[in-house]
Amino acid sequence: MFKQLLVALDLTEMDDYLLRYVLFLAKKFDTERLYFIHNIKSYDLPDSIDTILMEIGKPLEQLVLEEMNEKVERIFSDSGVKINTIVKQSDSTAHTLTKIASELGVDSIVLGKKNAFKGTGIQVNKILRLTEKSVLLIPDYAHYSISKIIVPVDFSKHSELVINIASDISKKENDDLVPIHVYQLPRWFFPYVPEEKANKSLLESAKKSYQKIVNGTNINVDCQFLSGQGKGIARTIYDYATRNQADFIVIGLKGRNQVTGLQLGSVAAKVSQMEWHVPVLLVR
Amino acid sequence: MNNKTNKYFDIYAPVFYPASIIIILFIALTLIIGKPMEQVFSSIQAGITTNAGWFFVLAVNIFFAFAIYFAVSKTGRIRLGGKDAEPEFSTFGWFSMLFSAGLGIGLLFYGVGEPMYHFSDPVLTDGMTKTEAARTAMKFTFLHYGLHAWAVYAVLGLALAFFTFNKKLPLTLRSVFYPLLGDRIYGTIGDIIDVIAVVATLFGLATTLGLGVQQVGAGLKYLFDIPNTTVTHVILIALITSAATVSVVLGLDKGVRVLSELNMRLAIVFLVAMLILGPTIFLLDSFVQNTGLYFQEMIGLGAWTETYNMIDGKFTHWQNDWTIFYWAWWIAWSPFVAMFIARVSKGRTVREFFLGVILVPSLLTFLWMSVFGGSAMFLELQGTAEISSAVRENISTALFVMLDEYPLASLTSFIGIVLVTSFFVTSSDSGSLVIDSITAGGKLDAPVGQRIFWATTEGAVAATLLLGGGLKALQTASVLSGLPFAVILIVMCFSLLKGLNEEVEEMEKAEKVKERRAYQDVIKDLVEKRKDKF
Repeated sequence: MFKQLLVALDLTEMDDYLLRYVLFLAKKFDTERLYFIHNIKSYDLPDSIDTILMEIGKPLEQLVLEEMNEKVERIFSDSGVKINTIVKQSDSTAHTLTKIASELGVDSIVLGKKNAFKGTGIQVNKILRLTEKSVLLIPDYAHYSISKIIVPVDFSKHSELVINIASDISKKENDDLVPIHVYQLPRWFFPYVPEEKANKSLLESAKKSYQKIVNGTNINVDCQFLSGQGKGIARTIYDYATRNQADFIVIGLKGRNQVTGLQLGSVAAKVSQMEWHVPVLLVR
Repeated sequence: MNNKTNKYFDIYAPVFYPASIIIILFIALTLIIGKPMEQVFSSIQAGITTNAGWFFVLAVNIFFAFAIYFAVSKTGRIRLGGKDAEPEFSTFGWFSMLFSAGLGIGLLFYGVGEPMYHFSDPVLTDGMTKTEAARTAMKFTFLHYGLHAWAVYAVLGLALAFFTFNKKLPLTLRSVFYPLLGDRIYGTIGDIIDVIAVVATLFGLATTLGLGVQQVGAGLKYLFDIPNTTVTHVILIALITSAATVSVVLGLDKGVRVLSELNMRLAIVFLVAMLILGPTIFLLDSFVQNTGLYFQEMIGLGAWTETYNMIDGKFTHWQNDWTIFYWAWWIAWSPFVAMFIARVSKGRTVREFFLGVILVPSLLTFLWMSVFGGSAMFLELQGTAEISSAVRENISTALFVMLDEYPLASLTSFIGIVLVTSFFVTSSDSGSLVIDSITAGGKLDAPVGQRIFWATTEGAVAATLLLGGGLKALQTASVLSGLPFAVILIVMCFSLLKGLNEEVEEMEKAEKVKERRAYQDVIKDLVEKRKDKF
């Protein structure tokens, strides 16, 4: 998952947090190669900027590249990881990122997620929809540690892949792996049937499904079963993660109801938009 | 808006007085003229439906087209209440409120009656086998209660919701014309719009109440052998309206809200009971088949205007009493349904709104019609009972004639009567609330005195129509007020189009500006930093 990464920088202070987190990741998972990319948006820049550019005599791309190199050097100089910095200029960052990720053949795309500024949120969703790679979302103020990994599972085919990936991640330094499953009575459930009974049988069948998934793998942790009644699945996951001091989440990009490849599951979409301080790995 | 306020009334004069005068004049004229009014009503109804029938059909299709357009285009992204608004109710809660908007006296009154009436109607089923006739009967019933009908409510509902929640205009009809009229909505033309809306709503509501009370009458005759005459009906109207009014006076308003939740549950229980007591498999089969056939033929059916149909060398006018009447009825009382839908839909996107409002109640209605109409159809096809002839004689008895053939008839009939009565009460109460709100200039909590005035007036109009000409008169009232209101609604669609498009533009511009500015700042900082290092 983390051997070759494409990291998107946005030239704000967020980059420093992101870079330090990526450093931590690189050390933990022996990352081989890192690509840092920034896409200059083709807006008209104000005249004041043009004037300065003329003074310096260098094109904007070069300045950006220099700045990026400086930042990256400062943090990664002794890391032993091969570094490349890339600057592009296009209308759509999402499309450029997706294309480059594909061309370079990286394992995952790493994005910073600013909780405050909504502008970032729109882009994230677009990238999630376009790319065929997994995406790691790092919020500002994330802890530089991975000790408790939460994996929401919905027992779809994709779930099997997701939980195995999470398990591999946890095995690197023997971190806690906590699979969780949120069950909910369907919203149109007839109000006259006792809820308790229905919940109980939902729970039973969920437990069986979990057994089926972990059968034959080397995963031997129990799954936590949570009721999502009233809150919704994404919210339940969020609350559980915060209450149990999880510091990493692995979730499938596809939902149980996705038919074809490149669509975004509803829970994944909500989870990626929520404002929280835990990194989320969305597995394609 | 300058309202005349005292303890009991909060009136916006330019709307309240003209509307009240028109209505009181109407009541007086009908009662004074007496018997000849029957003929007058008949001629008016025939005149409008024959000559303007095509217009009603066209109008409804226009609303449908607009609804689809708003839902699928970029306007679908607009959120009612602003982009940070959150839905007031959970999806399930919202759906159940939409269901409750769809359940009503119409379903109870025509649920059995309509399919059976169509089944043996010469215009529709001439020369058909029983199979064909059954299919056709259900098809047309679905047309009248299906997506086209809900598109009317949905479009008006969205307009009200958008201009109230997003543009912060008062919750009244005139507000939806702001994009076209600007501040002139506060002037005379706005007053005229609101007056027409009030009159239309009142007549639409009166039609509903009139039909409801006829059905209660039929039920009472069936269960307790109370004579089912117009006098009974008028007494019933008086009784039920007073009961509803008293509840308002005593501040038992909350009671009516509880009542409407209760009657929704009771209706569902009734539906399920019928499903179980009736020929269950047949009913489930029919639901699937009817729905499929409806969707397949929906477009042609929705645009059919009976142009080429003839019997005995003469053009037929079946639609006048059915489709055209329905469209006019729905248009007339759309403010009533639309305001309710608008109120509960804050926080939904335009797309969600249309999908929910058009599909959810329709599907429930299809189920209802399949179950109740189907139960009667089953009996008719098998020759067990002659429901269609009983229905032709007096359509309000249809439900009870059908229930009689199934187990627990006394109980189910009793539930039926209770349901119709409670729908009467809640419709009357909510209806007067809506009319209050428009005549008070868009305020949401009108004083008690005014509520009583309108509740009583509704009852009075319903009673007058019954006395003046029975079912025909009821239909005429809706058709008469539906016509001008349909014109208003079509204009409204364009106003809404403009309003929504403007909103989309603003939204997109704002997003782009924010992003661009932030990014420019970033680049500026970077460049300046590099310059210093240079």
